[in-house]
Amino acid sequence: MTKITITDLKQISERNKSTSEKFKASLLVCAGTGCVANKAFIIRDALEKELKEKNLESDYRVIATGCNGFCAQGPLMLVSPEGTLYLNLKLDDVSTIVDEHLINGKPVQDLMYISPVDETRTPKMKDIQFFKQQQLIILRNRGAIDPEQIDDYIGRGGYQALAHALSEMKPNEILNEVKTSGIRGRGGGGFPTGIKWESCISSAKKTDVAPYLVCNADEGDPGAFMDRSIIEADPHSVIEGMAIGAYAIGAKEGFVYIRKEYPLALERLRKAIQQARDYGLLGQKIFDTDFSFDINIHQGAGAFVSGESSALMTAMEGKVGEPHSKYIHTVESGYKGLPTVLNNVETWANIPVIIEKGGKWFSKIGSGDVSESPWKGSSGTKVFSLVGDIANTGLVEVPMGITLEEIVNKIGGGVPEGRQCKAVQTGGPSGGCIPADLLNLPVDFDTLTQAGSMMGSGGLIVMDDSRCMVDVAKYFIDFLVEESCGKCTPCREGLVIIKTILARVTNGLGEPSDLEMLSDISETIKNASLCDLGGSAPNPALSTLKYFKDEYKAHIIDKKCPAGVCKALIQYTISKENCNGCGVCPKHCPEDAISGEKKELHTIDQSKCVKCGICREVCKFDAVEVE
Amino acid sequence: MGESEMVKITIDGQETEVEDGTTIMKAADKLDIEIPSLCYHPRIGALGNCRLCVSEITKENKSKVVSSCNYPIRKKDEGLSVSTKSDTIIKTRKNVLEMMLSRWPNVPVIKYLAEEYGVQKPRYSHPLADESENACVLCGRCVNACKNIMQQNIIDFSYQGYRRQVVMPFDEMNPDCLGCGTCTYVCPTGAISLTDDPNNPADSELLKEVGLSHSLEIHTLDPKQNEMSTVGTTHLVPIMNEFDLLPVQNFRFGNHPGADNIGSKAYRKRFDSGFDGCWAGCPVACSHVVANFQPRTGPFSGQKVYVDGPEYETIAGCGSNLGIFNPDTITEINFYCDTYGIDTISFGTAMAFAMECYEMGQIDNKATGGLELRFGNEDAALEILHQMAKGEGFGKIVGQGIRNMKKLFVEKYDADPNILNDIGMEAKGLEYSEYVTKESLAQQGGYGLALKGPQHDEAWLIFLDMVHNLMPTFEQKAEALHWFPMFRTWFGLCGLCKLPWNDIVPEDNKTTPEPAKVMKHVEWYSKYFTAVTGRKTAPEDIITLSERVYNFQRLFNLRMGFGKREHDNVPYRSVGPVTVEEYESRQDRYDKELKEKVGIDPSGMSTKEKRDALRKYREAEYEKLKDAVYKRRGWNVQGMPTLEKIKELGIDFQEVLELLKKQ
Amino acid sequence: MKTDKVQSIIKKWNGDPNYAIEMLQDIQSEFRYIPKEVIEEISESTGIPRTQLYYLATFYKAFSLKPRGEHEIQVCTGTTCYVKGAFRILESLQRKCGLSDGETTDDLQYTLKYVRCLGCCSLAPVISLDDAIIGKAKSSTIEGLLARKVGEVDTK
Repeated sequence: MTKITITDLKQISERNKSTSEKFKASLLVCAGTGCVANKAFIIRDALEKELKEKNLESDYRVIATGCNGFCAQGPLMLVSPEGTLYLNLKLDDVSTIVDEHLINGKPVQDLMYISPVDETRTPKMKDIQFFKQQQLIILRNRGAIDPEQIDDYIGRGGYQALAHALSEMKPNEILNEVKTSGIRGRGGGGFPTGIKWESCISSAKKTDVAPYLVCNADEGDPGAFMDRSIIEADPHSVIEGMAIGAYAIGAKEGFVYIRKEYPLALERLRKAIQQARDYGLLGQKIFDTDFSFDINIHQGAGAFVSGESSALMTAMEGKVGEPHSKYIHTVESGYKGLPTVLNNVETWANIPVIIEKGGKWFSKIGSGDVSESPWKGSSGTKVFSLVGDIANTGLVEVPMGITLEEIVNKIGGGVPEGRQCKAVQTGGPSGGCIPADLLNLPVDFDTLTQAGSMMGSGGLIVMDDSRCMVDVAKYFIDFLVEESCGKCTPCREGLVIIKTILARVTNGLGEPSDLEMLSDISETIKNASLCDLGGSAPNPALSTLKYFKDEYKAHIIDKKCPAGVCKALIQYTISKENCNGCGVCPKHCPEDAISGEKKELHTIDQSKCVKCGICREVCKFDAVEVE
Repeated sequence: MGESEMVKITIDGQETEVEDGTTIMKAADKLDIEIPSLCYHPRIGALGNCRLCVSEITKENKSKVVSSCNYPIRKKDEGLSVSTKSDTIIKTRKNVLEMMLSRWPNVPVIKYLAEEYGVQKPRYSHPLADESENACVLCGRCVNACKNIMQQNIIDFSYQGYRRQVVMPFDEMNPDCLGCGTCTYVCPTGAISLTDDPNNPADSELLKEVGLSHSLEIHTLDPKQNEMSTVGTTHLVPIMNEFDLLPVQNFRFGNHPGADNIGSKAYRKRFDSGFDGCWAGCPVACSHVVANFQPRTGPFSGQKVYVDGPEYETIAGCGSNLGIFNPDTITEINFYCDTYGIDTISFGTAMAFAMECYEMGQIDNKATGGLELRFGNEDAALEILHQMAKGEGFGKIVGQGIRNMKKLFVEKYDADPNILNDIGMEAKGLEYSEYVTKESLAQQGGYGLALKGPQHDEAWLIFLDMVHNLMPTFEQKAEALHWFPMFRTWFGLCGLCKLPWNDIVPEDNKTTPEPAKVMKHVEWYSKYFTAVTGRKTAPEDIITLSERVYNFQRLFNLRMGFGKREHDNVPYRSVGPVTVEEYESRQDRYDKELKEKVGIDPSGMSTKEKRDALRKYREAEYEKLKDAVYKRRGWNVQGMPTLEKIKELGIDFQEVLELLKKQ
Repeated sequence: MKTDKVQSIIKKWNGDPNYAIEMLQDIQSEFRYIPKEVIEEISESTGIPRTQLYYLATFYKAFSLKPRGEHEIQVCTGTTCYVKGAFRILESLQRKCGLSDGETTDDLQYTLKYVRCLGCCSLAPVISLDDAIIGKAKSSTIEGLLARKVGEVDTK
């Protein structure tokens, strides 16, 4: 391949568009991790085979795209450009779609979205409630391109922002656009990106060295898969953002630090970087200017703590990723002691759009007014992974400032199975649980922090009223105990102690003084820990203590778990009314604790029961009860 | 070296001004505010692991808890208020100590700190409680000492989180371990011990016991006594100046108002805080580096260089003795001497001699190649140094040393040989070390009777003799000039440094019968010797060990033509005032000496007459000293070991006997 | 043989100490553990201290100093999976195979471990068998999983 020029870029874009116009339609099969787990590739292969057999290859093409976002309904296929979306595909559906829709021109009603409200079918993707309220900047190309084809990205205007930046703008002007946009780091901290870049530029100038640039793709938060999806769906958007950033701050070398546990994202990123190099969009003298920049990949070995910026930079030197005190910031002394700008995947993916449409345009989206200071609002959009006890799980992008209520009930379709929303957990494991009565809170950096949680990188986990909040706190603390790097005392020892106390409470052995002690120790961990992870680690305990104190009291004083979760405080029994003696539960019980002949009432021997809950899971008659 | 900016802050209400980048810990230390810590160790630096050293910083009504050991006070912190004792801080420390105490209930250092903060029994029990008294508390000192001080990778952390532990890989003995013991030294709990000392000592338990006591004492007392680990030997400059012992302008005078500019005060600011000890595990670590120094002359002009030093001898020799009181010039001379491979004492003393000859008119600027070789001419001193290295110009002559210069100046420039002999500060061909010995007869012997020439490491008796007057008789002086050279020779025999012997002394040393000998330490040294060799050794055995070698050295000198009474002569400048000006600078003292000791009434005499009378007396005293010392050492009046002595020491080898017969 | 493989892995990363973690990742997938002699060899060839390699190998849960099974069953215990009952599944599996977390069957066939989020939260609860992801898992239905051959888990 040879290096391309700015004119070539336009030609590739035109060519790509005219190629797609040659087809009657493109069949975009979602190949995000969720859909792949649901056999998306098998469906794609079958589709290609079917088209070939029916001689439709020149009329229709099949493209495996990155994550479409509507993961709950996968596997998915979008017929483009008309916009029909098919859901929950099975292998048998392939020939139906080809015959009915493609050949006979009658879209297949049965495979379309059913509204949970009125049970009507919604044929077009854009009309489905889940998509309607989203605003796509970061995910602008999701489900629309083949992420492994750079020409597809260029076809949708990709690399135009880089071309514009290098040919028309000075580094300083780029910095100004980013500052005007008011964008704040999407990795969790919400530090204004423009200010970060500016500090890095000035420390690099002082020491007369080229700074480093890093993309943090070490998405370690359980319950979050935004960064993974962005890279899987649109890796070039991240590469282009990094290249523009490098031009602005004067970096020559950049790194993406990505978890090895994300093999698909890793592979797509690697391919994308190679394609960009082949086109000369990375490497020496990009677009024949004096600007040279290249990107290398570091594969993380999956440790939550490695997402912390100083830890990540240590890991990039091949050492154990432990954090350092950041009284001297990484923009001054980062990777290998040199000034380093680190932003996460989502932040980088925003940059090309900010350059293309202008910082001012960006600053108008979102909440607050960032025209004077980025600290006075949260501009732009944010991608969330919306999961848990919710109808429409998936990946959503919404403008900052939207309320949790809108996300949960409108986009997410509410809590299913007639249950009530109890809390929404945000900010990853060291975030907090926001109770249902605060769902009208706008989602932005500062409001979430004030509510005792945080934005984090964007996991939103909805919990219904069957979840025990003490157990939830214990779950997160257990996670953090395992993930604490162990370097400083309060985080290493303090979390173990909190874990012990929470275990005592969930086992019904708690004492009234435990509540006071929990908050006291939590405060110390928060104040005295070495890094921000330690500083936020007690949040799960603190936020549940704040909003769900009654539940703690129920465990401690009444020795009861109101949600029926904590094993030591519950009992499984079989209801006389509902049990019809079908014999399924005794068969599945791993401890042979259930007795009773067929057609007779089954009973549980409490001395044998390990409270695994399998009987309740397999019972089709709701006969197994928890008390 | 640009002066760094200063930042004004308050700590616990006290205003202070610190250099940009100073940590809260160091700033507080200067105000004598104590901040507790487990992982901080001045040799290792800040780790930020234990979190006991937290303090609360407030600026513009915003407060934050930070670790004092590594929070750097920067220009942006101007006006910052630091509290090391706020309610939040006390509570945080209590809680952190409670966590530690719950995990390691029996570790003394934790128990002690917990008690100090009133933490009794923890409110909870720790599932991983370790009852051991010397449990590892994961402070990380040892790991960092191994990595950063020793530049080794023998031990490290392993595992994550609460599973964290310090190990050698695979929990097996690391074959690369030198057994230096640095980790055991820095460990606050005694969790690490040397199991397999590669030096294979006969009694490693005894060795460890003495070594740890000694290290601990140095560690505790050095900061209170001389601060050698911070300022090296530069603390000696103000002391010597105060006692009139700092050589100024070729040993003419013993003090100078400029001395303050070149002592510990000046170098404390210049020395790099990093470790520069000879041996990585050394608790004294007196050696210090001036980092990023920019020489203004010579081949490294304008570049940034590291300078190893300067120590006291260099400062006195290349500074005050040359009339130079600029600490940066001294650093530069130090740097070039090191780079060129020139000894700073010889250079300083030789240079001082050349300068005095020039000022006296014994040589002129034709001889010096046009250089104005006056005292205090910094550029000229540096120029001579560069010439010396290149083997060019007058530098080449100075480089040959005082003994050769004396000969040359007489032959070539018609200089006065008597004056040159009086002021040329060399004996046995070696230039004098940097102490003024005029008022201490014992130290005149300490220099003059030293086998290698007038060097301070055989005997340093000035304070005992002159300041404390502890050895009024010849016999006492002779005893000292026997014991000290012998004991100090023993350090050379064993390859040991003598600073831990008497530069850091036990707190009760003053009240012992012979404080100068620091007998507690001498006993430790005999224990070291016993532990390493397995030969039971008492303090007096050490002296015998040395005596053999010392006599052998004297015999060697003799064989080379330097071992007789005449070779123990010294220049008069080291004995008394050579010039009228020198006499007058200490007139009261000298007049008194004439009256009380010599029995002459000085009133009515001219200074010149008084000077000559004093000289006659002092020269005779020195000769008497020789007799007394020779006798104590078992030598004859010619200064040669007697047959009996040689037999007694068991060194009556054939060759030795023949050598003595020949004389 | 081992040496050849180790050397080619070192070569793949140019022996660059900055890529120590990547080298160990490759070693782990090649040998299914980090053998002691491999640590020695990497240290010798690259100059990366043994202490550093040992620390890495014990710090990260992705590495193991003991051989892991040919197949790995991972139970995702990320937040969403936790909410959806991951620990019930983990317990069932542990009961079924008689393995605790991180343990391997005696025939070195299977290793059972729990992991932090496989990033398929919308399919929670999720378990994975080698590279194949099984979504919406139930403790009552996964029991047959071990009996089936790996090849039959045909998600691709």
